[in-house]
Amino acid sequence: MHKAMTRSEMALFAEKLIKENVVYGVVAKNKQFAWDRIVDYRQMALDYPTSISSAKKYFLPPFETLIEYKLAVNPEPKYVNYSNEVILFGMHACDIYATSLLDKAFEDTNRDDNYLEKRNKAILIGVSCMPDPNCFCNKMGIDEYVHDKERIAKKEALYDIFFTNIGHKYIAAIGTARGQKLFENYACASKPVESELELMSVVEKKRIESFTNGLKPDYDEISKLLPKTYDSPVWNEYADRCFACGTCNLVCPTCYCFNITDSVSLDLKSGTRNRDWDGCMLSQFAEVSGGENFRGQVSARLRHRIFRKGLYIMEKFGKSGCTGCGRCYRNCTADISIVEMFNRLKEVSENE
Amino acid sequence: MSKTITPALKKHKNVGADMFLPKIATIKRVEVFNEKERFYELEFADGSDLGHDPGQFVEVSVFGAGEAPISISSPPTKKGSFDLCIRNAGMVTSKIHELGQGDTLGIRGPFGTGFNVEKIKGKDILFVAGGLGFAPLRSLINLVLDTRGDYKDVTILYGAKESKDILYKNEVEALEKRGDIKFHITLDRSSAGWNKNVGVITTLFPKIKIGDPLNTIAAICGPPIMYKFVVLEILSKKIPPENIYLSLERRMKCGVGKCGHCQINSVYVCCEGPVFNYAQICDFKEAI
Repeated sequence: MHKAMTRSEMALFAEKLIKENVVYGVVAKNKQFAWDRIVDYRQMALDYPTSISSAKKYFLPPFETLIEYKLAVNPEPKYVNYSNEVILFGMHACDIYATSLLDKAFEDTNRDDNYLEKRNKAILIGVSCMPDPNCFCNKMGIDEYVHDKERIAKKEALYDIFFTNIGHKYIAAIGTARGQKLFENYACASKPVESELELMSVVEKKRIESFTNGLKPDYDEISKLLPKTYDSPVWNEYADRCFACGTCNLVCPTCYCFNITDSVSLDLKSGTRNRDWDGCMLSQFAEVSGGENFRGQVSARLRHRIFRKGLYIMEKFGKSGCTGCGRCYRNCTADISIVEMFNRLKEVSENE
Repeated sequence: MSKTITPALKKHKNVGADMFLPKIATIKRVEVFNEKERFYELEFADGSDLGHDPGQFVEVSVFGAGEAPISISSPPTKKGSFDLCIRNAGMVTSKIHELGQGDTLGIRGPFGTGFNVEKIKGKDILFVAGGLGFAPLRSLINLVLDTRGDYKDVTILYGAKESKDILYKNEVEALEKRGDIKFHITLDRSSAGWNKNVGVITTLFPKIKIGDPLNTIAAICGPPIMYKFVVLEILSKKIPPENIYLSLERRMKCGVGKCGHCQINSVYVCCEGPVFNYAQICDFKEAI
C-alpha cells in the first residue's frame, strides 16, 4: 500500500519527528555528505548521492561498553547496554540491505544483545537515490531484496518506511507495523493517483539505467569465480598498492569485526569492557601472542577481505557481503577500485 | 519516543545478555612450571563444573586488563575444579602471572568444538603434543586414562624445547612409568643429564608402531610449524585424514563467532574449532 506526500507534507512530517524523537540523518559536510544528529529539518538531505560512512554506527557504535565491573575482590561484572530509541532518516537501499546482513550476523549462532537491543530501537526510514559513478548496487541484488514485495505485504520489510522521490512528491511504502504506526502518528499523506504511481515506475527505471560503473560480474558470478583466483598473483598486484590502512573496513556498511578491550576509571575503582571496531586489513588482526601472524602479508589480508565480501558471507547467509555502495573505493588512500578488482578477478578466473 | 514501536526483530529463545559476562572463579592452586608457564587450578564459588568437552577453551578475564583465550587443560572427568596452563605471552597473561591462590579471575565459556569423544572410543589413540600443545591435549589424555578401558593402544609423543620447558613434569614421569600406554619424549636441544631422545618431534615417529591405521585416531596439538610435518608423518602411516584431529591456535577474541579475528578462510575457529578433523580442513588454504 503506497502513500503520496507533497514536499511540504514531507517537511512537516520530518519536523514533527525531529521535535519528538532522536533523529539521525544525512547532512552536507564540505563537498560530501555524512550521518549526523538532526535538530532542524532544513539541515537534513534527502536527495544526496552517497554518504561518507553508513548509519551502522548507530547500532554498532565504533566504541561501546559491554560490561561494567568493580576493581575489587568481587568485581561483580554486569551487562550494560546504553541505547536510545532512534530514527535513522534517509537510508539508501544499500545501507538498508547492509543492516539486514548485520542483523543476521549478530543473531546467528550466539545472539548478541548488545547489538540487537540497539538495532531493535532503531527505526529505518529509507529514501530512493540516483547512483553516482562508483555505485554498483545494481549488480549486487540489493533492490530485489530490499523491495521484496512478499516481505512488504507481510509487514516484514527490511525498512520501516521507504520514500521514493518522484520530483514534486514522495511515494511512501510502509514496510513494518511500527513503520505503519509511526506514519499514522506523524504523517499527513494521501492516496497516490495513477499518474504518480506511473511516475514512480519511471523513476525506478531511470535509476536502473543510470548506473555507469562498468562492473562485469554480478554478485552470484563473483562468488563462483573467487575460488579460482585464490592463488593468483593478482592479489600481490593490488597489495603492492594497498597501504593496509583499514579505511575500507571503516566505511564498509557490512564490516562488523571488532576488538574487545578493557578500560579503567581514573580513580581505579571500576572498569568497563568495551567493543570497538577492528579491521581485517590491519596488520595485527590475525596475530596471536608469541608473534605468529596468520595473515601477515597484505595480499593475504586483501584477499581475505574480498573473499569475505564476495564469498564467505554468501556461504553463511546466502546474500552478497558486498552491497555495491562504492565507499571502499571513494575513500581508498591508494585509489584501489573494487569494481576494477572484481573485473580483473573475472579475467584472471577465465584464464585459469 | 512513546507513541511507536513494536519490535521489528523476532524474539529469540536463547538469551545473549550474558554472552560477554564472565563468571567469577577463584584460584585454588598455582604451580610454577618454568619462567614462562604456570599451572592454575580454578573453582567457581558455587562449586559447579565447567561442563566442557576436552579440547574446548575459555576466555579468561583479568578485570582492568582484558581477556585471553586459554585452552582447558583438565578432563571433564575432573569434578569441582578445572585446570589451565598459562604462558606469560601478553598483557592479560602477564597480569594472570601476578595472581596467586585465593585471587579471582573471570571465566567465559567453555567455547568451541572439542574432541568428539564418542567417535574415538574403542580405537588406538596416538597423541602428538609439541610445547604448550601438551596443555590442551592433557584434557583428552587424562580423559582417556581415566576411562582407559574404553580405548585400545594409547601412544603419547611429547616434544619440548629444553628440559625446563617440560610441562606437568610429575605427571610426565608417571606417564613414562605406566605399563598400559607407550610414552615417548624428545627435546629439541639436549640438556645436562638428559638421556632420552633429542631432536624435533618427528624424530620420535620411527619409534612407534601403528597397529591398524584405520582404527587409529591421531590427536595433535602444537605450534603452527609442527602441523605440516606431523600430519605428513601420520598420513605416511596410512592413518586416514578423517582419523586425524588437530587443535589450531588462532586469535579467539570474542569466542562466540562474531569478532572475526580467528577466521580461517570462511571458518570461525572459536565455534567450529579449535579442534578440527583434518579431512574437514585440508582444503582450507590458511589452516596449516
